[in-house]
Amino acid sequence: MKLLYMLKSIFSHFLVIFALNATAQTDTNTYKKPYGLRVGIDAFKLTKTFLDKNYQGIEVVGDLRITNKVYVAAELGNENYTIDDDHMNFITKGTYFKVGLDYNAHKNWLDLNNMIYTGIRYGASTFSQTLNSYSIYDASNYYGENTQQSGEKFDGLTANWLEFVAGIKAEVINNVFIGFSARLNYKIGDKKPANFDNLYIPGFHKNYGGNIGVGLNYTITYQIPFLRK
Amino acid sequence: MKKIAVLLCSISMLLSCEKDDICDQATTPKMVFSFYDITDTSLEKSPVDFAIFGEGFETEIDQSVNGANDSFKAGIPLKTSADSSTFLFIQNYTDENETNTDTLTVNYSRNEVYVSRGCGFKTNFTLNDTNGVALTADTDNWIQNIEIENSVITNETTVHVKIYF
Repeated sequence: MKLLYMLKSIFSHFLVIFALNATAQTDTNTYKKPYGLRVGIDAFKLTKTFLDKNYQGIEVVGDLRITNKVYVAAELGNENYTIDDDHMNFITKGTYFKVGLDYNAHKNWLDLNNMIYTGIRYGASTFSQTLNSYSIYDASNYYGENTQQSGEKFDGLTANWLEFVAGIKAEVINNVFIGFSARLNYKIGDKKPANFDNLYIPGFHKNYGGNIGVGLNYTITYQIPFLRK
Repeated sequence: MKKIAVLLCSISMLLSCEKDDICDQATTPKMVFSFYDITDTSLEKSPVDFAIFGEGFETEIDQSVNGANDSFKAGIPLKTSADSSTFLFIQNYTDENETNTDTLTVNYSRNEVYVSRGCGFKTNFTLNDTNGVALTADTDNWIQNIEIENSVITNETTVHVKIYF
């Protein structure tokens, strides 16, 4: 697991540096810019689905350029995650959507369409938690571990949050982009299960009891080129 | 643009870190008891050369060599997997000829409460009204009387049971 995090970290830093070098020059000439809809998929969730038997997830992403620098962006996803923690084992299952704006801070050279952007999203999720088992914490540990089987399911849970996004998108072949974004999530509110907690929220990710979550995605997107200015 | 790169780097570094899940909250409380003098019931005292064991367990929960004039207060863990726990209260523990063992059975109901990711769940206890703490009668009980002071056990800050001898 640690190795996975390390690789993830190294890869994401490499990607940032690569993108910065690749797009370091600017020009004042005007070229026709694509204003098309861009749609794609989060490759990170897809990969994790194949590698982690406890995880199934998919996220569809899309953005639409509305001005030279501003894009309307959205993500729609579904996750089914079995989490085996030290003190409990539970399944989080649910759907989420995120909608917001991206601001491209990168001046493209000639007719390039790369992005280095910041953005904001409003995110919301509906989900269920199933508590498979849990252990009773007894600091004395005189009687040894006490793990209880449960299976109790909490339906109809909800959460909403704000996401602060920073990312890059680079056109690798004509109309096909790869992108990476990191997200800092701030939870506005959630409906908690009785006598349990939302330790994972689809789209928001791991929750440690505070209101902060983090996320990332690696996207592969296709620009539908229906309009160029 | 550089600012965004810095932000991107710092968020991705944040992602690589996992917070350690250490339990730093109050969890399953022990049942706290203290000893009092049977003739002067407001006077705290302590059995001499005293030890407590859970019935069937080899490790002592608590042990004390205090004299009769000292006070003695201790917490004993209740079983979180059953509605009763039995303890051996032993006086003159290290003196084989004088050893006197009294058996106490604590009867209660349990309430499991979610605490946090780092702690999991805890159990709170409510001692039964009729036989909350029952002394098994034998030929030479050294414990004379037991009073339940607080039947609801949710913390270790108050004394739950008073034992007189």
